Parts: sequence; structure tokens; C-alpha cells
Amino acid sequence: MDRLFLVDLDRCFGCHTCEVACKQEKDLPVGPRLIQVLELGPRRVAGRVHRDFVPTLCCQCTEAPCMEICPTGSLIRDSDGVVRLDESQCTGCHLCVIACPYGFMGSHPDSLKVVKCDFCCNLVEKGLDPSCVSHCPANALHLRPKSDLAEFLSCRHCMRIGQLVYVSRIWKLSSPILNPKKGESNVQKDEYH
Amino acid sequence: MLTGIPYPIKGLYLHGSNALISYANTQQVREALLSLDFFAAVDLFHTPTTQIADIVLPAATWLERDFVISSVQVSPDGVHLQQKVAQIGECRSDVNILNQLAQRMGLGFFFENEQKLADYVLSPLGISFEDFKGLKHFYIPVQYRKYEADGFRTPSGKIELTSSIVADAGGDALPHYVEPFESPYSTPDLAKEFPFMLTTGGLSPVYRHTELRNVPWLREIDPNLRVIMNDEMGLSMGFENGRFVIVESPRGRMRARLRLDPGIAPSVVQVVHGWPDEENVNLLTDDEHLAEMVGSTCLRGLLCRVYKDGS
Repeated sequence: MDRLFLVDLDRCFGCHTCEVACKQEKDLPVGPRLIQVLELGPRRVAGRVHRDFVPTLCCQCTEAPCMEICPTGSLIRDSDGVVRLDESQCTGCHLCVIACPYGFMGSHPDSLKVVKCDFCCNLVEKGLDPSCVSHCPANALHLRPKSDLAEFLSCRHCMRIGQLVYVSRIWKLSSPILNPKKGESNVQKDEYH
Repeated sequence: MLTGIPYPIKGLYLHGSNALISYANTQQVREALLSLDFFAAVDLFHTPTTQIADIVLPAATWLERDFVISSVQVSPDGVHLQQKVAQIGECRSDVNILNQLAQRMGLGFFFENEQKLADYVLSPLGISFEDFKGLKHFYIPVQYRKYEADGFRTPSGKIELTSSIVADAGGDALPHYVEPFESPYSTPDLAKEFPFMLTTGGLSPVYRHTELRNVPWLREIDPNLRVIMNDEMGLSMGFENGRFVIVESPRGRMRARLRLDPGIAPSVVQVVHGWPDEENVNLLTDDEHLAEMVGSTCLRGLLCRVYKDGS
């Protein structure tokens, strides 16, 4: 079942709870940040001051450079569309960390193993939400089957990057917020308009 | 402490207070604390305040103590059980420290241990702490429209649009505007030297007052303090985003990085409080002009000036 991760940009108010929830779930020290809330602004747009928060995380790229470059085949796409890391195969060569255009392949500073967002598939398998989703006090993050998106996408602008969908009523999301490498876009813009 | 009026204070016992950062006019607080013959502090972690104490006692966190919790700020009608799950080092709970001190000093009224105090707290319910372990929490049944029988808890029993309590105490029953003790209107000469209004009310989303700077995950999210200033004003004064600036008030000065921000009025400078050392905005605040009826210090309407570090 194809799952998409929805980020409602209008609801995020920048509390960073998702970041702490992720660190707690994945047991990560300072260093790798598998979800990170970026602050846009405060900036002037058409004479008004705006300040927005954009939660960013691994978008599970449609054509994932991390998967392509991994020499041991330890990055595998599962049936949900999530790129998972098989830790037993990973040698810690970090080629994927270099290949990721978004900087979301993390490196554990102690074990030097690669750490990666897998939408908390161990929790999802138990019928739970990913840690960032269940802890978000603003209800800005959702992980939903692709077939169950109608309520989120109605009357909203949306933009898809891999398995990640940003939605907003305020901002016209017509171009990717994070630019992948030149010439290869995994943005499927028109799919949900 | 500094004046010895109305009587000299020789010793201080401080619980869970980072006074050296959180009180107004830090320089004065430091002098006062250092003037003491004896200063004992109790806290969960080492803070700038505990570092100048003669004795520091480690306090138990909520995971390290049995107790009854009643959150008066959130739900005054409920009490919850809190059971100890860990013991780190020699930590003792605040309650134990106080009671054992009272016992040694022969002060009479004290509880032998936390359980005894919990029994006392629960006594109106007619249950002991041991019984409470079975209950885990207790709520007073919710009763709607209580005012129809008893009225409101005001002197008149009615909703008071003006405060008769404040009026009886000699104050103004309705809130009224008071110009800050220093401002471009009340002290125009001083405002020529210190042209910006300083507010210390802004907060970081990940910290609370002086707490949590020692949590690595949170420090990663919000690594350092920024002095926030209007971008157009800052650029016109030759400032650069992210560079160190000095903020100075008639009381003192502090140093931190600047953030130029279009979301703030040109006449205002904002600094988040609670950071230690030279980033402590309470080096600038005033402790002498207190709010009418309340006695709180002025932390928002202050004058300051900003200049580049090194100029």
C-alpha cells in the first residue's frame, strides 16, 4: 500500500516537538536530524510580514540516489514506497550520505552507522503513527494511504516530492521547496490538482 | 541583603531558583548573594546560581520521588499519584530535605518522610498514600453552575467588573495605563542616549525561562540567543545579521548575536531571557521600580542602546 506523508504548512507553528519525538524514537544523539523544522522568514511578501515553518524529512525519492549508489544493496524500497535501511547489510561506507541531495541520510556519531527516516515503519506495522506524527500538537503531520487523501487535498495547493506531500491554503506550491539535482526532478506536480 | 535594612540577612537557603539569571538586575543580585555569610542552594542541575553557593544539594526529580500531584494551574479538582521509579546518586526530594532540616533544627512541625506528608495532604479525602496507590488518581465530581447556589468567590458574590479587592487594598479598581518609569515620554533626556525600547518577553519554543539549556537535543534546535531588531533599522545603523552586538541599558550591558527581523517595530529591541553569562538580559533590567499593587519588576518597557561589538 502506497503511503504518503502529508505536511500541512498552515498548521505548523515551529514548536520542534517532531524533532525531539524523532530523536527519542530512533534513540539518536546530537548530530543526525531526520526531521527538521526550517523557519522561513520573518520576511516581507507583498508588503506584509510572514513567518512560516516547514517540516522537512526524507521524502523517499521516487528515484532515490541513496538506493542507486549503495554498493551492498542495503537500501530497499518496501511496498509502502518507503526506502528502508537493512542495518545488517550496511557497512557504513556513507556513500548514500554523500549522494542524498537533501542531506537527510544521517550518520550516527558513535556507531558511524547510517541512520535514515523510514516513516517509523516498525510503528506503522503495529498500526501506530510515526513518532513525529503522533507527537505533533498542531496536527500538521499525517501518514496516510494514497487512496485516503481527499480530505487533505480539497481546496488546498499541494506539491509532491517523492512520498512527501506539502499542502497549504495560503501558499501556492508550484515549485519544489527543496531543489533536487539539476535536470532530475522527482516532483510530480500535477498529480493531485 | 545589601542594605541590611530593616535587619541584616546573613544566610540564604534557595530551592529550585536560578536567581542569578531570572531576577532583575543580575549585577545587583550577584553582589547580594556574594555578601551573604552562608548560601545553600538546592536544584536538579548545576546552574550559575548553584555555582556561587557554599553548599549545593541535589534535588530529586519527579521520577525519583513518591508524591501526590495536584496541578492547581490546570485542574484544581484532581490529584494524581506519582510513584518513584529511579534513584540517581544521593538525590533527595525537596520535601525530605526541608523536613530533615526542620527535624535537626528542632522546629517542631515536620513530617518524618514524604509518605507522611502525602498522608497529610490526602487526609481531607479520608485515605492514606498506601490506599491511593490503588486509586492512582482522584477527581472531585464536576459540578456545573455552582454560582447559582453559592455565588462567585468575590467579596460581593457577583462577577465584579471592577476589583473591590484591589480597591480595598488602596489601589485602582480598574486597570489604568502607567507610562514606564523610563521611556521617550517619561525620561526624554535618557531616551536620547538610549533610543530603543527593550522587551524581554519573547520566548524560544524549546526552552522555559532559564531551564533546559543543558538538554543537548534542544540546544541543537536553538543553539544560541539572538538579539532581535528591525531589519531596516539595523541595516541603516550598519549592523549585519548574525554578528555580535552589545546591548546596553543604564544598569549594565550584555553581548549576543543579532537577528535582523522585519517583524518587529523599528523602535523596539527584543531579547529572550534566561541565557547565562554575558547573554543574560537581566544584566539590563531594573529592580527598583516596582509595579503598583503587584510588586513585579519592569521587564518590558525599558530603554537601551545597541552597538557593534568592538566599536
